[in-house]
Amino acid sequence: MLTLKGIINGERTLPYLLLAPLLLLLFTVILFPFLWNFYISLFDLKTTNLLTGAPFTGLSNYLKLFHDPTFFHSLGVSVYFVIGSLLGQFGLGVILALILHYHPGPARFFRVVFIVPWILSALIIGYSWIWMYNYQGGMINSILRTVGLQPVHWLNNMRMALWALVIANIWRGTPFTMLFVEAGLKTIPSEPYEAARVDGATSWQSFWYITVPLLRPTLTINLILTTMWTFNLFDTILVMTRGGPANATLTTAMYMYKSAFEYGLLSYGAAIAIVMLAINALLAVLYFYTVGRQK
Amino acid sequence: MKKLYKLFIYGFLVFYAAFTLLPIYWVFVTSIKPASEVANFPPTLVPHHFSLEHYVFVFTKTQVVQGIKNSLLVTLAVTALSLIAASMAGYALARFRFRGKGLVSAGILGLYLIPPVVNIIPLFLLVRTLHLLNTLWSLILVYQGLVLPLLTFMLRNYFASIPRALEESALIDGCTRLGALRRITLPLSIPGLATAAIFAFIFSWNEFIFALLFLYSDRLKTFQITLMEFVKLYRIDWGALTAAMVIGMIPVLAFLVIAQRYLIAGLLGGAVKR
Repeated sequence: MLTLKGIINGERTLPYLLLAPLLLLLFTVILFPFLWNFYISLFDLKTTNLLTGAPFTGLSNYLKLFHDPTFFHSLGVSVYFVIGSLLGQFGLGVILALILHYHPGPARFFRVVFIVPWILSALIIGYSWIWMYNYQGGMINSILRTVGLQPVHWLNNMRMALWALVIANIWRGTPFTMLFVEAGLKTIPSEPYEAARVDGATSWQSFWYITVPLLRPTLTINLILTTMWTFNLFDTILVMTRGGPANATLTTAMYMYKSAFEYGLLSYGAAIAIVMLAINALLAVLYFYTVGRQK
Repeated sequence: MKKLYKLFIYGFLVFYAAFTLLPIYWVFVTSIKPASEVANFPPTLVPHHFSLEHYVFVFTKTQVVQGIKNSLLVTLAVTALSLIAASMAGYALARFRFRGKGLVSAGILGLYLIPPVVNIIPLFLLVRTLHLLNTLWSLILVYQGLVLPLLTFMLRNYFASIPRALEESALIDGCTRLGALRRITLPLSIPGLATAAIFAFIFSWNEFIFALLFLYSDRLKTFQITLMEFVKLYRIDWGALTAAMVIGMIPVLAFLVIAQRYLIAGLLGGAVKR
């Protein structure tokens, strides 16, 4: 019975055949590059010696990295960028989620509006905000002038540029937190609320003693995920400031990109990527720890 | 007190809606102002004159149309190919018991957690080694890999929600396994497949980092990359750029309006699945 049809329709082999294209693609595009990255980071590969071959240099890229003030500067910028973005995204996202959850009427309209920034391309988001921040033609400076304030060079100013990016990133990322927390609110069963009402609890009490504790795992997971994403983010930064002015917005992810593709130091960039990966892994461990404790 | 509360709630919603929409409004009104008004200082918050000249310019004098063609080619190829691979794999995971199933599921989830950013350099070298640099195939390959984990999980869950008994009765009536999949399960899965397709479409339409790294010929640039044409070193043609941006937002916003609920569920599914 070893006909082709027999093999294709056989219960034993069929699942493997069905999984083959997926596994092949995931191996090629994710697993292999992931492993290759470690290997690249041990050489001195540059765009200038791509054809001639790169010398093996062992861990020297990592040693250089730990003596590189720009790298530590970029970690600091990332910390500010992550904290600023998260304060805004989390604060606004949670408030919006609560409003949408408790007011289903207006929620139907406003939810769609709020999601818009989240599904636009990073390039369009970046250009939209460059235009908002534009010194002459931007809307923000127009408003400042109208109310009699001095216009600001938002993206060219060492002190303002990072916060200007943070605002754009809050705009982009708040919808995710909002949807995530709203989904979490919807999974809280109604029984504890009914029991509390029978016992004479006020709505403020049942919010504080039922909703908040039951929502805590959702909030923690949300914070960890958004921390990872914000730390890894560099597409809008690439569009808006390329890390400038004078490295004021050079996050670690941006520094990795610039090292590899602007300075041509591919192996050095790979080493930065490995350090980023370690930071991500740490956050992922936190994630699974929280998810695990929740069960 | 109750009135004050309501005022606060609506006030906050309107405030946030304004924050969300103002940048988009600013792009849109700039795109419909005549060039003379775009150059005006101070800028007009509401356009005084209406003009489609920037749209005409974008469609006739720039590479945006070629970019749309390239993007559609990539996007449709990615959507079709990844839908096929993901539905095959999703079906296997939802319906079969086989050795290594747990490992495959955990593996897909694990690979999904690797942030794509850290793979940029090896992916660039991989594409170069495969001689795919400066071809649209490079994007078709890489985008598929990036959307597949999420698509597979979405479709596995969808297939698992379709009763097994329907397929079993088809098997009893003499259908083969694949015949039952084609005649029974796939037609019932159209909403799930549509959500997955929209997700793959939006992802491929929006992506630009890999397109920026992999393509350098003008005739191959994807839509997003053609937006960069309007940005010269010291001068940006804001009228034309905003018109092109509005064109780029249209397909994505259309999908949001049509398939809002499925889209939210699918996108959230990517973060909360475990």
